[in-house]
Amino acid sequence: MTFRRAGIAIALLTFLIYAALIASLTTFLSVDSLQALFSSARTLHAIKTSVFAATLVVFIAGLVALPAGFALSRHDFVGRRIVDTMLELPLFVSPAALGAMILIFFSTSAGIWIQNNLQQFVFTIYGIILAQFVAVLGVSVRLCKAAFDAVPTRYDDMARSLGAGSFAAFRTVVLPNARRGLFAAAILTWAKAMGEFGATITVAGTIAMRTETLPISIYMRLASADIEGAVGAIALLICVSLLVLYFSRFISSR
Amino acid sequence: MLKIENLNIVAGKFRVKNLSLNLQSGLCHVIVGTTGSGKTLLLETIAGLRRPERGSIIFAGRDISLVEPEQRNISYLPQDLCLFPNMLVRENICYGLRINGFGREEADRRLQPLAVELDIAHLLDRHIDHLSGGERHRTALARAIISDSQLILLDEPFSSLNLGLKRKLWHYLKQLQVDRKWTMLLVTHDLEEAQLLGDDLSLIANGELVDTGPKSEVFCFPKTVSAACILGVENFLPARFEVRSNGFCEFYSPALETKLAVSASYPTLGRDDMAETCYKLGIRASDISICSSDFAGAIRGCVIENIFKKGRTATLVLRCPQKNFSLLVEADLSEIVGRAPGDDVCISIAPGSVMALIQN
Repeated sequence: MTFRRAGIAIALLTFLIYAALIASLTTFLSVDSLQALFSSARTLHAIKTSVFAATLVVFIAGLVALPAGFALSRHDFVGRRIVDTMLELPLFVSPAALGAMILIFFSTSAGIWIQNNLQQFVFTIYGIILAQFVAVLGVSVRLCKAAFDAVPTRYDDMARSLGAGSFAAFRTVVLPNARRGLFAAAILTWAKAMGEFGATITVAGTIAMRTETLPISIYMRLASADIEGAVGAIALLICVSLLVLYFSRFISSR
Repeated sequence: MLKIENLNIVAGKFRVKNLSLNLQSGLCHVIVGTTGSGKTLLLETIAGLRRPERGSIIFAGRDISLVEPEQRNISYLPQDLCLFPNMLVRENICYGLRINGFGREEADRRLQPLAVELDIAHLLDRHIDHLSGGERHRTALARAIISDSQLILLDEPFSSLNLGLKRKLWHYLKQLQVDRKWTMLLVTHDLEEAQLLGDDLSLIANGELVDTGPKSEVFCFPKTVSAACILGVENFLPARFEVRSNGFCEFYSPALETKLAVSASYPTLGRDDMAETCYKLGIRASDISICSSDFAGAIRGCVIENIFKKGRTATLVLRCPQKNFSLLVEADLSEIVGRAPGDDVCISIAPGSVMALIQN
């Protein structure tokens, strides 16, 4: 077997692993259970919560990740390496630990003050958003940096030599040329936020009709031995995710 | 107009050392140098894309060495063109105008004649990815010259174009430069381009200025071996100063076992320590011709080592009478009819063509 064929075979195998897992869902999937799932207000609420939180997180993370990613891509500054290393923290530390750290923060005097005077986070939808934001921010900045890295610094230089200030050069040349990478970054951030479980459940808990996202819903159904409900929720999560990924690929290829 | 004083630029292990240049307003100054000599570094520093380590760049009366690039009013055409892929040809060319607050109509008014002249008028609404190499070059050139900047920096702007198009653009650019009294700094390694476009000429090698001055002076009277090398002189013969007589200085060339005369007005001559100075005589291959043995001034004893024919001319490699030396000679095919490697030939050197170069 040639190296090329071996590579292709392994690539197909990765697909098969996931395909087999998805196919196994059909064992417990029935029209009745799906109907029950979709007619339940709790499920619809979980979908809404998940999509709303993930979408909002993409925008909030974007506000931070765009300038931070650009600075990391273009500028050399004191502490650059520390920032760069810290971005990988959420990848290494378990999401549950990340969530626990957020909870611990809110039991400090600063955290208590914030909760009492600004916004209640623990066990609320704001907690979901905060937990997902903290979980995805590192990856989001990394992906934005990669998108900016793919645009040669020569473009910024050229724009500036033609009279554009540094922000105008960023806006008119760097940003448009990084748009595909940034779009992909947004989609991946969204997908990661959609699937986030550990930090979310630690901070926001599992309050039905309040802080229940789709992944939490799956966990709760499994915990209460509602296999069919769990399978339905999983199928739903997969469908929503695949749909978004497909459309994003479609848009970015144009 | 632009005065560079003791400029030092560091890029990794390479450095441009103590470079000083003076560009006169309304003229085209050409910098010729071998690859890796620091030409591009110099242009990037003038454009503001690099900080010099030391030295000053005085432009229109003020030191701009630390001024941001967008505040310099200097146009720059880099070697890699650096066209913006997210924009149409039209948007690329007008970028500088639009970002500096010119309206669409004014930008268009300037664009139209330029696009026609550069033969890109039909491409204005295309994307950069859909242009050929020559079209991209012309687009980038248009972008560099449309703003009528006080100073235009061009880094090998025609290097990848075919000769016909290159010549056409040379003439066009020269005409524009003269008409609009642009001050241009052009970097190239094409000597024909340098001769045609340049008013003043500087030579650089290994990050150091080798020579600078009016084009005719630098071209015709190189002072050092490295300057002559950059200018494409092919033959260098060690020589000893012998005597000065009748407006000529005589040198003895051991390689040719003969005396050669150089005009006493040659810039490197006329100094007191000529007898102690280490000279090399530079002779262009095109200034040497094959002649018959009875020709007055014929140098005998050369043997043809090899002949490389190219079109109507040929390059001959000759072994000198002093066997360790060889000469390159450019001859018409008609001059070498019946000659073959191994033949003895006599050569003559065009009067006034020998250069007295200082070995550096």
